[in-house]
Amino acid sequence: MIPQFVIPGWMCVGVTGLPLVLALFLMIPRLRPLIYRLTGPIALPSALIALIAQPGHFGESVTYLLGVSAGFDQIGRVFLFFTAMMWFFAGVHATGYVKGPNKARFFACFLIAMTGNFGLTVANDAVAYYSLFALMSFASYGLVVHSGDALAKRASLVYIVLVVIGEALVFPAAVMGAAGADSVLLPDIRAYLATAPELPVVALLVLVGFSIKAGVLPLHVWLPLAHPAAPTPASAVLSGCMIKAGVLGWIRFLPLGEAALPAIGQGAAVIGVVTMFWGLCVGLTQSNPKALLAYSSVSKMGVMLLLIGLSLYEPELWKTASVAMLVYACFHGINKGALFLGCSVTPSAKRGVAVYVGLAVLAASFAGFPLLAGAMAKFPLKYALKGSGLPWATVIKTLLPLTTVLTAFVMARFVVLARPRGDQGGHKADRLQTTAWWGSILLLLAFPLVLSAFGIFDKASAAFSPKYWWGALWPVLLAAGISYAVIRLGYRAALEIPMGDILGIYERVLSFIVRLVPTRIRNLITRETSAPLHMGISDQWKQNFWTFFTKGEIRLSTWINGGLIYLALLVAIILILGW
Amino acid sequence: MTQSSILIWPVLLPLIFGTVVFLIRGRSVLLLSLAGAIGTALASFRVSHAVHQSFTLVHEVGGWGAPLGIVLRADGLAAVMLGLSGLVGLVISVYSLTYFKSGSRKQQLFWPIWLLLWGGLNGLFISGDIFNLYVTLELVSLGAIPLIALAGTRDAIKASLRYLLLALLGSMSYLFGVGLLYMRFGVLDLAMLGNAITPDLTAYAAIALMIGGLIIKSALFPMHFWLPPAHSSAPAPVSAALSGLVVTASFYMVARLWFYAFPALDLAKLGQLIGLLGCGAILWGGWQAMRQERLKMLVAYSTVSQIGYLFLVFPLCNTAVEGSGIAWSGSILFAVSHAIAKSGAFLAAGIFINVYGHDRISELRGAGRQLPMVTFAFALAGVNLMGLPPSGGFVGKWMLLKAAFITGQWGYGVVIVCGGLLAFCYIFRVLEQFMTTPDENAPQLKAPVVMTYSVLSLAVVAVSLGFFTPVLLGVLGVDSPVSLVSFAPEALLP
Amino acid sequence: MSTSLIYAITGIAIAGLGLFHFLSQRNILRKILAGNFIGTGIFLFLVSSADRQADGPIDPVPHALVLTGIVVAVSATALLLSLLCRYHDETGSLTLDEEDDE
Repeated sequence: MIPQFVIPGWMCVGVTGLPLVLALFLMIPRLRPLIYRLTGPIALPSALIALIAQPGHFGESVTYLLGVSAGFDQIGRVFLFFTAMMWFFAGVHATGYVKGPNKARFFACFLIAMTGNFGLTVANDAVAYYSLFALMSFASYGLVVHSGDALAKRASLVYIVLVVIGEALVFPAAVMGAAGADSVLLPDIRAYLATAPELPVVALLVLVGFSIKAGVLPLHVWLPLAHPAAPTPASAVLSGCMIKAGVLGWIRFLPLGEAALPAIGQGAAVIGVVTMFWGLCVGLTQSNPKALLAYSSVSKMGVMLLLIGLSLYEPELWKTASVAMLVYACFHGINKGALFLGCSVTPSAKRGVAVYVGLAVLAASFAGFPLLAGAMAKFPLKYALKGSGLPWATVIKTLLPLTTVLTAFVMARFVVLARPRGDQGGHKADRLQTTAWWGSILLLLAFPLVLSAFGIFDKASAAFSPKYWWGALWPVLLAAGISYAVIRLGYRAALEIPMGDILGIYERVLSFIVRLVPTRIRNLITRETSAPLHMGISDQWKQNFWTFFTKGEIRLSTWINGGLIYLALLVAIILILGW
Repeated sequence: MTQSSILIWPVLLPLIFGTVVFLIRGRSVLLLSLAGAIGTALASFRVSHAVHQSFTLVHEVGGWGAPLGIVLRADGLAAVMLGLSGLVGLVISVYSLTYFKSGSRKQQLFWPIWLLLWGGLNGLFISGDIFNLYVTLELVSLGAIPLIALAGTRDAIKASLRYLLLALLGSMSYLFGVGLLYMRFGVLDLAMLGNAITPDLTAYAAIALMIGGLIIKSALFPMHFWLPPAHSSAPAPVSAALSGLVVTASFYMVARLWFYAFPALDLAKLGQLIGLLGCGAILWGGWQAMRQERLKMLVAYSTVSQIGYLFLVFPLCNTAVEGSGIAWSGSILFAVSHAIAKSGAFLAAGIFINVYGHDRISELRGAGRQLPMVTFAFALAGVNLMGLPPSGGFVGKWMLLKAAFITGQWGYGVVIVCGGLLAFCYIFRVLEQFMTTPDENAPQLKAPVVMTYSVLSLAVVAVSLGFFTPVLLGVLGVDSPVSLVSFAPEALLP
Repeated sequence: MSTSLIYAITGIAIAGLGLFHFLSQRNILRKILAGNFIGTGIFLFLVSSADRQADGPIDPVPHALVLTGIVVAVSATALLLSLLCRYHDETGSLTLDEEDDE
């Protein structure tokens, strides 16, 4: 058993803030090579304190911001642990992987995003959570845009626009909760919201706002663009850790287990189920392995939203659902991160048994092969679904094997796409990068130990009972067999849905709307200041309208108009006061 | 010498040094100016510190009290503003050391007028009566306008002429209001006026004239049209002082009158009108900023937009609703952080003009690689303007939004959030250009060191200001007009 | 109607006239003159308020205010005139609104 200690609040802040301090030293060019090497290891202290922290202790300070509170609860511990471990592997991997003139900028963004991601797991007040979430989101813009090519530019634009929309939705929700509770502490806000009349509004804002980061349909479009565009270590943490910050946001801001929102809960559950299938089906059609993995993440985040929705429907479920989310997030973070790291290690590797074994273990685990992490993560999930009183929960339960089979097919396709080919042209992984990948596989294999370190192994221990093995085995075997046959027969995918799927629809709708808008108004946005030629002078109203918006500034500034506004203002003030 | 006599130094020092610098020539100009700037800043900080340590300081200049003498009064609000002007003024001064060509006529003229302007600002912040507010406001205008004209371009002269004419209208309007109030109530002192004032037509007319005049001066929409040309055509340190301090000073006067001289009147409806204008400013200013092609124009329109936020305090801070006092601290905090960030943004734009010779946004691509420090500073200032954490702008917005929810005025909340989105659009437009990879053969550029680091220091302060919210609230809480109890730092956490 | 009331009304009238011209004239020189008219009207108004208590002594404060106000107004006018000279040198124009005619 691991000894547990009370971690004071300042230590939480200090340890999770280490990457930020390291990032500051990037300003000294001489130190940069050293800092690139330290980028991975700097995550380890955070993993350590997550492991040894005694949950339920929070440190508070009123000297900074609007009051800061930090500490560990059970959820934060688990999230910080797998987050920090995956940042560690990704950081080690990045040391040799990232090259080019923007290297220093990449590492600066990487370290800052790391701080944000670590910090928000220990944040216990709304301001700190929001701040660190924003820090992480904006810093990872620098990760997505890194390569600077056309794909990266488009991906980063879509990403940043969605991030800002998400921030704009979460901000009022956070303030609304804090205003009602008259406290910025997250537990107080949850307690207030449980009985607050504005709960539906806040819940909707929080659900939609954080679902952008989590990548839930229909706001998932940035994920399949950004993951292939970003350098591999960045995609690993984006998909493994950062999208979990959205999930954690739901957990932190919603009064789960305390208040029932049947309508919103059912809605969220439906969207969760649709997302699950959408991600898997579209993922199957991808030919870029990283896009495929991104879609698989979208699907798994659908599972998370399903659990949130069910718990909103009936608060009693949260007890089992929270454990399921915890285990599932931990499994997905490690497994998906390792799969992503594989994308840069395996294609260039020589065709050897070892690489195939590594790849197979990752894919099999993700598909739920018996005794591996994925199979273990399924049990708490099944318990939670079984306990649900939602009328159509049985439908979900019957659909579950179907998702397992689909996941297995997705993984089979991934193995085909990422198989070792001895690629000479692409990226060549060095020893350190390969070691980091193997490290992440080892962590995945040690998943039972991780769970028992956090005292949640018993919920997943049923995976070791042989009577469930066949149920977990056949989808994997089926998928592997069919995939093997398909490849042998030389079939190719008939359908390829472009990365970002419905993003194309959004863009088309947007451009359609733009085309509907009269030219003159469109010109306003494109900063065209002269009136369009085809507009008749006789058309006085249109002329005035046009003038108001384009030359409004100039018109305002003429003396008569300016003076008249001033006089009107005086009269208005006197009238209002005397009224 | 009593303790309260330290109040005269933030006003007297810049005036003395300004006069001396005006009379001498040669290298000692810079030396003396810098000495004056440091002395003024230190004197301001000293006052802020003293107020924070104890209580409101009141000083009767020359031993003559009200109504004939000049009474200086520094409460929490004044102390915050003095600290702000000390910080921003000092950085602007350091930046200006190398901004103007050494020994040039512009440099020769800049220092005395700038010190005069600074002294006027400090005087404005610690004036205790409505007439001295008028005199110091005129001092500020008369200092600001020649500084704009200092740029010497046709645009600058035109903008300063337009500004001066409008400023004249504004101050005449204000003075008329002062006359009406004195005729009716026979007092000029802010505190005495607050006790004496009664709701009648004379008072209302006076309020209309004073607030109307100040709306012109603080460029609140739709009286903002003079601001962008004036602020964008001035030399960079002047733009920074104007957008950072001068506009803030006019807002400060409105707030001072509203919460200290008129608290006995029911101004809720007028507050709604001003709130509407504020919303108009946020949206119109932000939208115009998005459409600008020149960096300084963009930053100037951003000022128009951000001023709107400050004026939201009038509808949001409703003494009848418990807890809405948070709007008061929110808007002051917003004003402080905006002043620092906006000065930083203008000073950064000045470096771009200095290095590239222009400020056309579309031709600044790759600046991020060529001038990384300046770009970083501009981005930090942008973080503040967008209201992202942990900047002071974020905390200010948080508080304003909270007040909007507490008072049930959700409409203002929507505008506050939309303004943030607009700010993101116009800041991101610039940053995206900066982040673009420059041409292969783009030359390596060297940024002026002193200027770069003075900009960076301002930007860092602006972004980290949110961390030190409790300190600012502590100073602001000294003799605050609204109850600070509900948002004292201790009350934030159980 | 007391003498001071007549002064006050006259002051307001002068200020109003000045304001009208300030806003309606395009020529900047005329605007500056009109601005001075406004100032004079306000000063007259202020001076008239010295006689607030009908039988008491004359209140000295308004005189002090007016004196200060005149100083401010003179400086502003001087600045305006010098700026106008410079503007006229640069553009040869005496109005500000030429972009209105585009």
